[in-house]
Amino acid sequence: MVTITHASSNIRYRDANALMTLSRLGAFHQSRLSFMRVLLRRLYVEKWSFSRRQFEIDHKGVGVAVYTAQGPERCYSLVAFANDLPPEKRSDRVIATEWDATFTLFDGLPSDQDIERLRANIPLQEEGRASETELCLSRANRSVRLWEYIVGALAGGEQPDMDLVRSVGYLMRTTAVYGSGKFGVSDREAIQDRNECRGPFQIEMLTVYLIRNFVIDLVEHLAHARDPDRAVKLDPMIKRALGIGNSTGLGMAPFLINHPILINNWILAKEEALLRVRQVKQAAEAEIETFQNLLLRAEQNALNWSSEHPLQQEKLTRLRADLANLIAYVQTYDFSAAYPWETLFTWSKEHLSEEGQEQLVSLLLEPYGHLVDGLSDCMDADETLGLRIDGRMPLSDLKAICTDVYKWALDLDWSEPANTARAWYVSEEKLEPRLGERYEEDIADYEQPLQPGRDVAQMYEALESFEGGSTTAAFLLKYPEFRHVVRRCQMAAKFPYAEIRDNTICAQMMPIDLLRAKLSFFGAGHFDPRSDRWLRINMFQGAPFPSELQNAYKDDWVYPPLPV
Amino acid sequence: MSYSANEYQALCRKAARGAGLPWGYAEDAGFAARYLAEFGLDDGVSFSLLLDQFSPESVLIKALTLCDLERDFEAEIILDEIENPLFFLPFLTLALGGSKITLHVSWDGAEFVLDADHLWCAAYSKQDRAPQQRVVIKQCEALEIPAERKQFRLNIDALVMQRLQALAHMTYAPATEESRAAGAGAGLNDND
Repeated sequence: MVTITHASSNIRYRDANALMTLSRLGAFHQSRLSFMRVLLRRLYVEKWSFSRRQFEIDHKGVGVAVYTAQGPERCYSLVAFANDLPPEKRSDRVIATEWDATFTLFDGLPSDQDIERLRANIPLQEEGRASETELCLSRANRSVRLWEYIVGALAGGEQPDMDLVRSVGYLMRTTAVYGSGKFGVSDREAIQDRNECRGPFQIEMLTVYLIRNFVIDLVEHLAHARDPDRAVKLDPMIKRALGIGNSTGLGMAPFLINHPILINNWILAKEEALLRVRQVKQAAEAEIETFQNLLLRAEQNALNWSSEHPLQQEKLTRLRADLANLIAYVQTYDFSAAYPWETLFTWSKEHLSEEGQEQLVSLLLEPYGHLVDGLSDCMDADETLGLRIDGRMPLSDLKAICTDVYKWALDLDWSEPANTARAWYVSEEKLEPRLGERYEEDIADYEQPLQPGRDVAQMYEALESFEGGSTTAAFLLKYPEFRHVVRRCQMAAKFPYAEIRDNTICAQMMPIDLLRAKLSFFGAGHFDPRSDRWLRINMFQGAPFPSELQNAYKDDWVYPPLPV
Repeated sequence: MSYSANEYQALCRKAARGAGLPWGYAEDAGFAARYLAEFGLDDGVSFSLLLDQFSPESVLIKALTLCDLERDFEAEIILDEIENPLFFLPFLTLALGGSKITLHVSWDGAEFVLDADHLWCAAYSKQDRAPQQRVVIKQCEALEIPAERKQFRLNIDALVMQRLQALAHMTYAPATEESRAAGAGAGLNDND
C-alpha cells in the first residue's frame, strides 16, 4: 500500500474547470449548508413558536387557514386558500390557472381586511396582485397517488402503508414558490437586513415548511369530516416521511446563469467547508461515528429514492454502487492516520462516480457543524458588484480571462450545428423561459443571453482581429453587442465559481442538471426527472414538524432512519 | 398600484432589449431605471423617453462611456448637450464603488451629491427638464447629513407601464403548438 502524506497547505479548493461542468453540477447533493437545513437550525436555536390562528375549511376542503411563525423579533403568517379542484383541472405545468391550494407568506399578522384582499388575489397567482406585505407566493396540487388513499385510510381508522407513503413522499406538490418582488411581492432588499432573512431563500423555505404543516392538518381534517367517529390522526412516524413535493422546470434553469455572483457564493461556501474538513488533521471518535452513521443512512436514502427516468435510474444505480463501495472501504479504513478526510476524498476521485463523489462531499461536512455552519452567512450576494464594467482593462487581460475561464469554449467547434442546436427564449404565451431547437424553430431572434461559452468564443474572435485600441472601452465602442459578455468575463475573473464551464445550448445538454444544482442548495432530495427539462423533488421529508422542533430536532433529519 | 423594485428592473431590462439595445446595455438600463425610481426621481417617463430616443448620442451611452473609464474623478468634468442627464447618477454611483470619493453633479436647476452608497438631492424639479443640458461633475467634501432614502415600492406612470410592457413583449417568441409541447419538456403525466 502506498502511504500518502499531506501537508495541509497542499490541500486546495477544487478546480472550477472540473467542478463547474453540467454533469458535476447535476450530481450535487444537499448538505449542511442547504437552505432548508439552515432555516431549521435557526428556528430551533432561536426557539421560534408556531400557532394555527385560523382554520376555516369545510368538509370538501375549501376555505382559508392561517399559520403564524413567531421569532425573536417578528412574526410571519402563512395564509393558505384551499380549493376543491376537479381532477381534470389539476396540472403541474406553469400554464395551469387553478390549484388545489394557494399560499402567501404574510409579513406579520394579517387582519380580516388583509385576508379578504388576499382571498381576491392569491388564488389567482400570477393573474392576481400581491403587495409589499406579502413575501412569497405559492401554489400546490394534491398527489393523486396518495391524497385520496390517505384520506380514506385515516377516515376508516387505519394508518396508510408506510412503503407507499415513502415511495411518493408527499401529499401535495408545489409548482412555484415566488419571492423577491415577483408579481408584486416584497423586494428581498426590503427585508434582507433582518436576521432571519440573511442567507438565500430563507423566506421561501419558511413558506414551504409551513405549507407542509398545513397539508397534514388538511388531510386529517378531511378524514375527520368523512367519518368523525372512526377517523384517526396520522402516525407521527408516517407524518415525518411526508415532505412537500415540487415540480419544477425550465423557469428555474436560467437562474444559475443569470446570477453568477450568487452562484459563486453558494458554491464557494460549500467548497470552503469541504476544504476545512479536508484540512482536519486528526478526526475525533465522535466525528468518525457521525460520518459512519450518516453514510449508512445516506445509503438508505439512495435506496428509498426512485425515478422512472432512465438517466436518473442509471445515476441511482451508480450512486448505490458507490455507497456500497464506500461503506466497504470505510470498514477497514484507518481513521487514526493524519488527514483522514483528505485521504478519503482523494480515494473517492479514483473509485467513485460523480454521484458518489458529491454524496461523499456532503457527508464529509456532517460531523463538522462547528467548522461549516457559519459559512451559511456568506451565501448572500450583492449582485451590483458585477455590474460595473472596467473600461480600462487592457485587452490582453480580457483575452487572458477568455483563455483561462472559457478555454473549453474556445476549444469547441461552434460551426458544428450540434454545438448550437438549442436556443433559450421566452415564450409569449406564459412569459417563461423555454429551450427550443434553433435550426427547426423561428426562435434565434429571441435568444436570451444564456450561452456565455458561445458568446465569449465570438467575442474572442473579434478581439483577435481588433485594432482600434488597447482597452476594453475602445473595444466596446466598436462592438457594443459584447457588453454583456465582457461583464460576465470581468465577473468570472473575480468570482471563481461564477460561471458554468460547459455548453448550455448543445444538442445533448440536460437542463435538469442546472435544476439539480440549484435544488441541492435548497436542500431538496429525491430528484426525479420527468423529462430532460423538468423534474420532481421532495422538500423537508424527514424534518420535525413545528410542534416537534423544540423536543425532537436533530440536524441529521434529512437522512432517513435505518430500518430496525 | 405600486410595483416592486425587482419586477420594475426586470421589466425595464426586457423593454430596453425590446427597444433594440444590446443585452449588456439593457442590463445597465434596467439598473438605472430602478435606481431613479427608487429615489423618486423618475416615474418611468424619463426612462421611456430614453428608450424611444435611443441612439449612439443617448445619455445612456455617454454616461456609461464616462463611468466605465473614470475612477478618480480628479479633474472637473463638463459635458455639453446632454439630454436626460438624470441617467448620469446611477452610473456615477456604480463607478464610485469601493472608493471614498464624493461627487457634486449639477445642471441647470438640478444639484446632486453622491458617493458609492448614497445620494443627496439639493435641487431638482421634474418640471424643469430642458432638452439639452450642460452637466458638471466634480469632487466635493463628504456630506454628514442624512441621505435620500430609497423606496422599495415604486409608483410608475400607468401609460409608461403599458409602453414598457409592449417593448418587453418584443423579446418574447410567439408560441407555436410545437413549442408548447416541446419547449417546456412536457410529455409524462404531471398529475400523479
